[in-house]
Amino acid sequence: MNRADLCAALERHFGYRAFRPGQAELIEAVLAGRDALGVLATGSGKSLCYQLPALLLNGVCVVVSPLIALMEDQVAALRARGFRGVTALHSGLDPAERRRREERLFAGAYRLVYVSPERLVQPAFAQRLARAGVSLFVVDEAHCISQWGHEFRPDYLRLGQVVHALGRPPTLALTATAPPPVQEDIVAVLKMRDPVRVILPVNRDNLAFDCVPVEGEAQKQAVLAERLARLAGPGIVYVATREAAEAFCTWFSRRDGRPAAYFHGGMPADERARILEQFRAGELFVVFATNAFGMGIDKPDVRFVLHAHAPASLEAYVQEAGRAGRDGAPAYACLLYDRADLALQQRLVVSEYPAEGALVPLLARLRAQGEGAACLDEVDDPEMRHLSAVVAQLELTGAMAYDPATGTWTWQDAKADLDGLAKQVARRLRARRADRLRRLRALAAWAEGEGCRRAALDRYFGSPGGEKPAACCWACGVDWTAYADAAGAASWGKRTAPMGWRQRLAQLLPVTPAAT
Amino acid sequence: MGAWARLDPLHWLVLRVASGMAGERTATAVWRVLAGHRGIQTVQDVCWYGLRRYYAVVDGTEGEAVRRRLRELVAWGYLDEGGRADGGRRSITVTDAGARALREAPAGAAVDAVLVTWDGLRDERAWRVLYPRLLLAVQTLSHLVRGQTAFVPVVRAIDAQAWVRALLAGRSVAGCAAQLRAELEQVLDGLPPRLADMLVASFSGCGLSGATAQQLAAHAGASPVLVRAALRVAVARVQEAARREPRRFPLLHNMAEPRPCEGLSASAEATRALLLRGLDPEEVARRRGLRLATVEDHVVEIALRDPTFDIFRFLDRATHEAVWAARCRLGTVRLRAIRDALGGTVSYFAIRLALTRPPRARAGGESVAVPATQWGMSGGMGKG
Repeated sequence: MNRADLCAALERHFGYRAFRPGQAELIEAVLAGRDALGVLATGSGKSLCYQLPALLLNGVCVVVSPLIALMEDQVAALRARGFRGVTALHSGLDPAERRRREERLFAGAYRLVYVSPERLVQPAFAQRLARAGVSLFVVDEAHCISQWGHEFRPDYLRLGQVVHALGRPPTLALTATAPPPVQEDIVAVLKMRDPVRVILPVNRDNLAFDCVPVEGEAQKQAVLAERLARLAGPGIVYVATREAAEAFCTWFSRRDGRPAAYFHGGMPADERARILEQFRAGELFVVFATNAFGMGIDKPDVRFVLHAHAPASLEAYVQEAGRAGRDGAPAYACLLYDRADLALQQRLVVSEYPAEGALVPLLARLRAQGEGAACLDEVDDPEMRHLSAVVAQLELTGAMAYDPATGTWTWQDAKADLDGLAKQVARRLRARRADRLRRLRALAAWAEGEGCRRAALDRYFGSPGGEKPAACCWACGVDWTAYADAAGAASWGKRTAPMGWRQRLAQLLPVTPAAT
Repeated sequence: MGAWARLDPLHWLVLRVASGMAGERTATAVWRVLAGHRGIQTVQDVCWYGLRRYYAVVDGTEGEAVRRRLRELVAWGYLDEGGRADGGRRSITVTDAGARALREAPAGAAVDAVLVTWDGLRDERAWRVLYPRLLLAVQTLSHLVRGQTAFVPVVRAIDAQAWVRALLAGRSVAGCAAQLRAELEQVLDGLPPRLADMLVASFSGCGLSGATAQQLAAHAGASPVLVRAALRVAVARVQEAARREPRRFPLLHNMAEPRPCEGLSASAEATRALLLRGLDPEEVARRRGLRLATVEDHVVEIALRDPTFDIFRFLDRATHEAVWAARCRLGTVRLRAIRDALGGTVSYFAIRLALTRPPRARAGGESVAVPATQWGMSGGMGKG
């Protein structure tokens, strides 16, 4: 298929007239049967790189995705656009529903299926999938493959075997943030053959990077208040903790009548879904959020992303800031940089790992228990807080088998030498912790460094520098007031009181009620 | 005003449940009651400590918020973590200051006013099953009646999606929408207007986003915890009406999907069906390929959830009386203490089963330390 035909297919299926940078090259590669690695900035249209081929190739396109919520979001988004031949298979399904979806998949009802890694590594499933004919194997968020990626997932390590079991279909690995060592890990683990590499700048030129050094909460609030009072919305303010998300939202709502909400992983799922719904519908001026606010935000017109706390890594910063300006219109990202926040992040990182002295008793408990669930809901047992981190490392050492499908682990060797094992686990955890602290230092170095900060991002991620935009970064000069709301804060209106239930029900279901 | 004024509704709930457990349980046990865990240990705790009103009133995602309240209550001297529960784990005890705070904090009256009709064991399924189905049915029909087939569902629960799909199979969209609206109007007419307003404000539809508890709370000047509790109560009231009058509310009745014994797992329901056919626990275990201990857990849970279930098929009355005499003399429901007091001759199964039914003759008498209402035997508890 030549480029003109490809453009015609793009318009026919998705309504776009032109590809975004990198998309056509990746699509042409996989349509030609080549493996490909795409490092494309957040919001640059990675999903289209497999969604269009899924429609053009014979067979089913398999997409490995790390999180259930992310898969379901993608399926819902595609269905909302009228694309019906898509489904997801993961451990969140009850057995009957999973069987139903799998039967439909093997009967050829789907062109695109999102699958969790744990389902794929089950040999019987992979065999049936291979018989059904896989047109394209896609690894989304491929940086999870690398132990040196910022979101390492041990179950991604087995994907190389899966590609083989599926009959080696063309393989496409996609990520937004992969420095060169991570790129090499991806290619090696997936056993990619001479892949076409499309590595684009990690930042988009319509997004200006700003940074304001602050000291203490009062100064931070003053800067935040000034920015929020004038910037055009909608926007996101990222914070480091759930408590901070709630507190900042309360603080903002007391001083400003524009609609705001907070969002974090400690909220009930239905409430998180409503915040997303309201944000998508353009009803919220700003959302104060932890890093849980990310998946499923397919909103092109976010105008600003502020970081009230430094995130845990430069990778996380680029991903979060990159949620602004996906529509290509000017957008503003600003890091409110307080060195004290780095200490907070450092404490958060350290708190995710157990003290080395606690490892032997913890391993003894796990061995005595024999098997169990990796996500316990204990609230009073500090040792068990670190269970999932420890289980991941024990799995890598082979001491424990973890079944992600059920979230349970089984101890493998009742006679294992616990001291030796604890030392191994401690060594691995130390390396993980050191790596995460290194990423945090990279963020600090970026925030405190000199020279063009956009160029510094490109250097860190090993991506080619794009053309330098007029509004580049704080080192080159950014006028944040250029992103002010011309219509003023009044354009947002205030949140009105909810209407009475009868009136709202009539609006929700505008039909004549049946006689009962 | 005392220092207890700083207690928010979630502090109060944690303190209330900890107080009910009388220093015999851990912080995790408190959390499991509040979050509505369905394991037999938690169900026993709910019944034995009289905590039906506080069962399943917070969401499973709110563990961190509860953990923070626990830390604060300890720091303020309202809770003490020094005790020992069964199994050697640290139990939590409400201090004298905590008990005073529990009595006097304004948050307590507010929580109890909202939860006055809530019986978690009876009602939690309304929140878990009926509410997601209702949200998705309203959202789906709201779009379909306007000819919109593409939208992002606000509910991802597979059960709810399958139920709505089945609802719409072969039925007219307009007819379904009209039926649902009519039933909702009638059922909501019977609710306090504030509850009805809150519930319908949480629904999403075509061009209308649902409000979160935080937003409803901001509007009402209340705490999000109280609003979430009020929403649970509203849904439970809808469920109650639908079950009471299936002919009047056929769609909602079907949505609520009543069970013969509410709250039991599918496996415990299967055990119940066999027990009701006259099989004994050993035979049930053999037929179902289960361990006897699992079937005994089922028997205890059935007895706790179904006040009409006859426990004396599995337990002689003398043992029942002896267990209760020991329980009252010791002032505890710790199984090991009761077993030791009985000379180690009575099985844990028999003790647990006996504790599901207070002795009738003594229910109002001098030797029963726990009021009968706490055992789900009166005052509207434990029905249906």
